[in-house]
Amino acid sequence: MKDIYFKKYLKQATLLPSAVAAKIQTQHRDKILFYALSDLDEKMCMIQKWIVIGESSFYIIEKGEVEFFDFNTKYEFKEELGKTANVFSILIEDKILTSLWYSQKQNILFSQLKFILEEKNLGKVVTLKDNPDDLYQEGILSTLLKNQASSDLHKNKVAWRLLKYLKPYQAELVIGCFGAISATVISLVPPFISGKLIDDILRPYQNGDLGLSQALSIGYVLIGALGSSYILREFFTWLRLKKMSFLGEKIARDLRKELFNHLQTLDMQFYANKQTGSIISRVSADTDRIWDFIAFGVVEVFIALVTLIGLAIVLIGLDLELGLIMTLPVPILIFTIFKHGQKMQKLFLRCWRKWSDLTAVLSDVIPGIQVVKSFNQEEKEMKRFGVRNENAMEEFNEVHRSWTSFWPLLMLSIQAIMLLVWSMAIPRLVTMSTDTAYISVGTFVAFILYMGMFSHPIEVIGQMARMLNRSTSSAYRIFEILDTKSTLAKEKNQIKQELKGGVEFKQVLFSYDGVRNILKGVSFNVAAGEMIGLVGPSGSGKSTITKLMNRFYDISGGEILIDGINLKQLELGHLRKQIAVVHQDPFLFHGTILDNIRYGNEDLPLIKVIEAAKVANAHEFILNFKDSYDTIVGERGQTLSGGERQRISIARAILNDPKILILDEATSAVDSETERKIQEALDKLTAGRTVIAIAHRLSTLRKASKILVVKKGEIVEMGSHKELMLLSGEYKKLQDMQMEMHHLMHGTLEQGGKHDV
Amino acid sequence: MFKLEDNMALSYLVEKIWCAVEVKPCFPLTDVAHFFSVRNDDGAELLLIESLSDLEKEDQPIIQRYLNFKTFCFEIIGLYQVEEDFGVRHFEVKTKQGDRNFQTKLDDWPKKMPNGSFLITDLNGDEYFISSLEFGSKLLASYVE
Repeated sequence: MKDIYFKKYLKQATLLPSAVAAKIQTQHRDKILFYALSDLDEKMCMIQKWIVIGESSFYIIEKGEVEFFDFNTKYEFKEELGKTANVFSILIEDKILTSLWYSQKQNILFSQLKFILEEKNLGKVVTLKDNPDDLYQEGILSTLLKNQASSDLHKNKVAWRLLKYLKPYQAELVIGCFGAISATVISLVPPFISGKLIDDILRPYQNGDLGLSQALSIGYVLIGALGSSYILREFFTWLRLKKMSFLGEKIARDLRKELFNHLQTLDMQFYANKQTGSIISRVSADTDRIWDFIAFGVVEVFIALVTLIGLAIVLIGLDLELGLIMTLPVPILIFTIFKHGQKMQKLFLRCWRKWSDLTAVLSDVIPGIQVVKSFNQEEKEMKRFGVRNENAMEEFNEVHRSWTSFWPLLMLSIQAIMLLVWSMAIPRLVTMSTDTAYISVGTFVAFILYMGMFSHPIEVIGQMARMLNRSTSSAYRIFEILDTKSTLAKEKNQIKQELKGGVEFKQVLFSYDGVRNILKGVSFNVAAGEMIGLVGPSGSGKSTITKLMNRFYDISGGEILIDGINLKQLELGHLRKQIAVVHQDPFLFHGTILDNIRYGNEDLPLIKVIEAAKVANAHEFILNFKDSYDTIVGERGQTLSGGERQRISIARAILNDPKILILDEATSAVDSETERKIQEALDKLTAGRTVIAIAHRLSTLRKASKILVVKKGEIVEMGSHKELMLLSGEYKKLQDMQMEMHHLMHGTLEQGGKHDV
Repeated sequence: MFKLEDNMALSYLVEKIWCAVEVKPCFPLTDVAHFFSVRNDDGAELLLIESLSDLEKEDQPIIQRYLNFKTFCFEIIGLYQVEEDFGVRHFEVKTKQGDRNFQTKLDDWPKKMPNGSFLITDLNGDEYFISSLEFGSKLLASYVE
């Protein structure tokens, strides 16, 4: 399967050439561990140059020439990154031995390569999870597969899998299909009766072969039959539409439910890789398209096929010559419609682009309306929207221009065929009835009526490809999520244990992308009930440490222990229930304050909610609202201030009664008075719990028994405030900077004050 | 004063000490010819260059060569095929550097540059530049016009 990807999509060697591999294994007697491809040279031309890591040496191979480098020598590995081109160089004492140039496509492999080479060069044993071929192919394909996950599902398989959702509703499906077939067959009856009416009543009566009363009585019977066929046809159409619409809704409901439930089981890695809008549209828009497909698509196509085949049989049966004139051009017409569909698809693509441009303005301006207004940019935004709106209209008009000119032409072609039928039929209509070429008026009228039924099924079949494409794409997007499994490893016999709150990190390595380590061997210990602080610059890995405690991600090396138990052995739901996080900008759901405080603890009595809100210093401001605890906080709690949201989230944490509390910059985004209130609330909340506090303001960590200074994924200093100040290292630097900032601001304020006076 | 190694490692002489630096264009899309920030390993700016002509004469070709590497992207001069598959668009192209296949997301459209050219960024982050639509305009029309 991977080979197909390489050949079809990547235009790159599937594996290390066997001759190269053989040379290393036989001539150098080395075992290949890892390899990567350098696809550019220093002039930025496409080349193929391999770098292979073996047990004892590493090798650079170009055009069959092998250059090898022994691990006994100490090398330095450097990479210079450009926008598209990168350089990986191997040096000894600052002297460049060789350089490999590569595009971003090879980036993952080169990052891994650098890590392995550095480890090997330090004399460490490197254990790789896969064989070199798999590592190479995964490294190259991972980005594509991430964006096109489970693409091994062929379109036909997707459609087939989708149809399996019909299984629980077989009865409805059978009734719906029965209705569709019956309506189609019955729709063939009226033209036949019309022909009979002419041939068996009108003409014999005009010729004097049939009396008036007899003609009228047979005529009324046939009209009755005609009326019955209309009624029956509409009845079966109603039956089909009702059953299939309901069936489509049921399947869309099942898919939405399955999808939403499955989304709850997926880990944060999945959410980090997907856009929220994309996930939402899969649950809403894509399931809606599936309804369309089930309710109308499947049956419409089926009916169209049945109608066309039925019409062809009837027409040829009525008159072979005229029947063939009418049916033989049908494949050409369908092909023309199909080609038109392809053209329309390109036009729709342009519409889609222009429509995205238009909606981009909306999603920019509506959430940022306050900025727009404060910068007085309403005119500019109206103009921007106006231009894109105009562009979108132009594209849609192009679509309308195309189809409005195509369909009349198509209809004209069908009518031309009809004219041909007429011109062939007239001489036969006026000939003697004894002539073999003779065709009766009734037969011909029936023929004309059948001809009129030809255009609709042709149109439906012509659009089938596009419709099938759209719905299978939607189904594919849904199945892609359903097929995604949580990457969190699940140990057998997981433990559900009341935690005391002791946390230990042992040489923890972690990487979000599987390549660059965000945490590089982090080790520390927190006793149950102890408070520690994490400080360091943004992006140093502080928040990552807390996310790993919650097991939002699995670590790539080392061990995390809670009360001496490996994190992976603790039952996930149980673990998370005992850890609470208070964020800088807490998330509140659209709902009442009560709902938000009681989130996850819906059964707790109301008095507990009030008690928690009081401890969180939230009770008073909540009662200031008209509806008190029943006040709706709006989407993401936007109707509340940052400090109010913060205190509600603290109340929520209090109700949860966690053993481990994580404070992620909990007081950094509020004014001094609010900070005091939040700090008071936090002091009550932290009592008796293990607390891991991330803070930029070092003053908020005075109660911490230990402070860890994190820099570039490593703990560079650890100790109490006093100990760290004595070290004169990173912590002291941070402290001095903050003092300086404080003095600067204080001085500025004082100065400003004097000026005011 | 700047020094550029063959492996594109750039150094800048600060108080008689060679310091590893990178030069970043401030406006790589809007105005690639002006405003370059010279930053050290910690990301601190050592120098802001408004135009390469402001540099010493001997430094100009060094920085130009360095920027050629830093801002390099493939130049598309021919288009064989554009195909859409579930969630991804596949391009099979001829570039000045050789034939290449790459993929973009379906809703990632080529960016129109101020000079009228187009820039495509693929799933891996490789960039492709189209200066003229004379070739393959039929295939590309839906994506760029």
